[in-house]
Amino acid sequence: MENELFMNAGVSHPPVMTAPSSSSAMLKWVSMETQPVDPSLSRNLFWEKSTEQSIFDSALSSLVSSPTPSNSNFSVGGVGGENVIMRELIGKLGNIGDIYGITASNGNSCYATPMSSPPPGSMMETKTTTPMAELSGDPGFAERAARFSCFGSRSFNSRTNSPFPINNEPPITTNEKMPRVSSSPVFKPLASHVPAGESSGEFSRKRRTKSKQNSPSAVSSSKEIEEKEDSDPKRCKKSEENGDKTKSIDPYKDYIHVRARRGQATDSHSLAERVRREKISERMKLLQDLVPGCNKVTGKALMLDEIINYVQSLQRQVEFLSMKLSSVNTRLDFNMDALLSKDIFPSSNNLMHHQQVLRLDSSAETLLGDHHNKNLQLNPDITSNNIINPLETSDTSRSFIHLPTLAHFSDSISQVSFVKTNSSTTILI
Amino acid sequence: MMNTYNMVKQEFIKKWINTLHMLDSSIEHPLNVTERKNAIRLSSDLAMAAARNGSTVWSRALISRSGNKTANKPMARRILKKARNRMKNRCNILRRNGNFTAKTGVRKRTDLLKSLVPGGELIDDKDYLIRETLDYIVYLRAQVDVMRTVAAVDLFTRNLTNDRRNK
Repeated sequence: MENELFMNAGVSHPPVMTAPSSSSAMLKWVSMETQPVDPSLSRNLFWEKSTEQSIFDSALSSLVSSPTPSNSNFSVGGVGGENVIMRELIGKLGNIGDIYGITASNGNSCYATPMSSPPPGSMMETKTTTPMAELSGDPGFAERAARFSCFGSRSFNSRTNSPFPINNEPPITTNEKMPRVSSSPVFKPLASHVPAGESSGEFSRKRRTKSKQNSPSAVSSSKEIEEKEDSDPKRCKKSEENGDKTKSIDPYKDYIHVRARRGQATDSHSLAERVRREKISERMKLLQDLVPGCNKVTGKALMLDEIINYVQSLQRQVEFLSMKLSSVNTRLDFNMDALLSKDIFPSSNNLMHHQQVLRLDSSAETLLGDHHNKNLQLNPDITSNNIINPLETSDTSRSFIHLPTLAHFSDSISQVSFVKTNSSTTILI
Repeated sequence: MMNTYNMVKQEFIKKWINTLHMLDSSIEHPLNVTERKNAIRLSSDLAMAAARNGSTVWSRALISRSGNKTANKPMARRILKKARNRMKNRCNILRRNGNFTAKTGVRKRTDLLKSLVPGGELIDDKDYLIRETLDYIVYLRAQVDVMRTVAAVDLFTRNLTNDRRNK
């Protein structure tokens, strides 16, 4: 059972841990927590409000507004579907929609859309560009995606003596880079060992371009052939063709066709250097898609600045949210196996769900009466068709007499998961 | 059509539930808020790294960093095994350098980024560092989204009950 813990995301509970001196661990945690919780998040545009409520404003509004942003081209089904779920969840549950408003600022929509670009990007693993064009309305992105597919396939075709099977990668691929990450075994001894001559992915390209110098005749002849086609005005497509060429290259050939552009130096040093620079710029462009709000930023230093700010803000958000979630005080008593199975929700009417939930809510209210007992917990009758979030009876979360265990928290998380896992628009309240 | 970002979040949720259960059984009660927050943060980080399944530098570094922080070495070791640990616990405890303000230069910013991304200090190639950062950002974003949703749902239900009670 333990073995399945992280491979299969097993549904069974992990065994009880033996915790020697967990109190000292607690102390260690507290003392080593160097970052104080910073409710005022970074100066990033999207998190300029400093109050807790306003963070939820922006969070919920970003969730609500992302399906219909003004400049969004990425209305990808899954992400849009989830946002539709959230929007319906919020919209149908009273006046939340009015309270939080739909402040579809450009920032928020930009924030939402870049994350939808990796999911379509993952399609490139199958090396098809036409689904890409369907998925995203941005032709430039499709072209970049095609180029990345060339990168990825190039690393697949290159000589790899990976000690682990590539297919062990879980079916989840978040962005285009992941196939490459999994296929290149050089990442094990880290990039500093490139000169050691370990063959893999892009690093083998470096080695091979160096070996190109050893065979100048072959190199010059290949370059001559390539330079003749430099008059082709569409250079972008040429680089794609280049990628296609390398895809079909026998992996045991030891030089790579690099196309020299018009009016540029053509010796092997600068070619290799240019290849490397192009790779880095591609990455930077992809990062631009991922990190919101750096479309206008050019130059490596500023780009890195944006990335650093973004990562810092995300980490601070995690810190803050975990602080926020530590005050969650819900408890749900149900069967975890039933929850984690996907077919728990037949595609039923949203309204019916909602009514069922409300009915159970009201019955719970009458059951509890006016008790403000934090320890009171609900054990609702769980059918396969509805699962409710039991009511929180305490007014405030500031004062704790007895904090519930993390199991309670995890239960509430698992029910939230159904909002996300179901592609249908059933509502879970 | 595969919706991979949702799958990332789903995977993260599953792993998070598991890590919370693991931590919950090993933590003594009662906890104050800070410890609770730390436990949640730790479990969430471990879940994020485990969802990535250990084929990136940052996920392995995050696991070993979290493993060093806790006394739950058995759990950390198990996660490392399952994550096909290839770095052989070489990651030392990485210090966070969040207040560093880089004024000029790509070099300084690269160093700062290395300090932010777990495992970044071990990566020399800037190219690979950026790739790792990309992957890390995706999973970090997934973590933030999930946590935010849970908090929002909880907040909403609390408001709902308060409204009902006040009527």
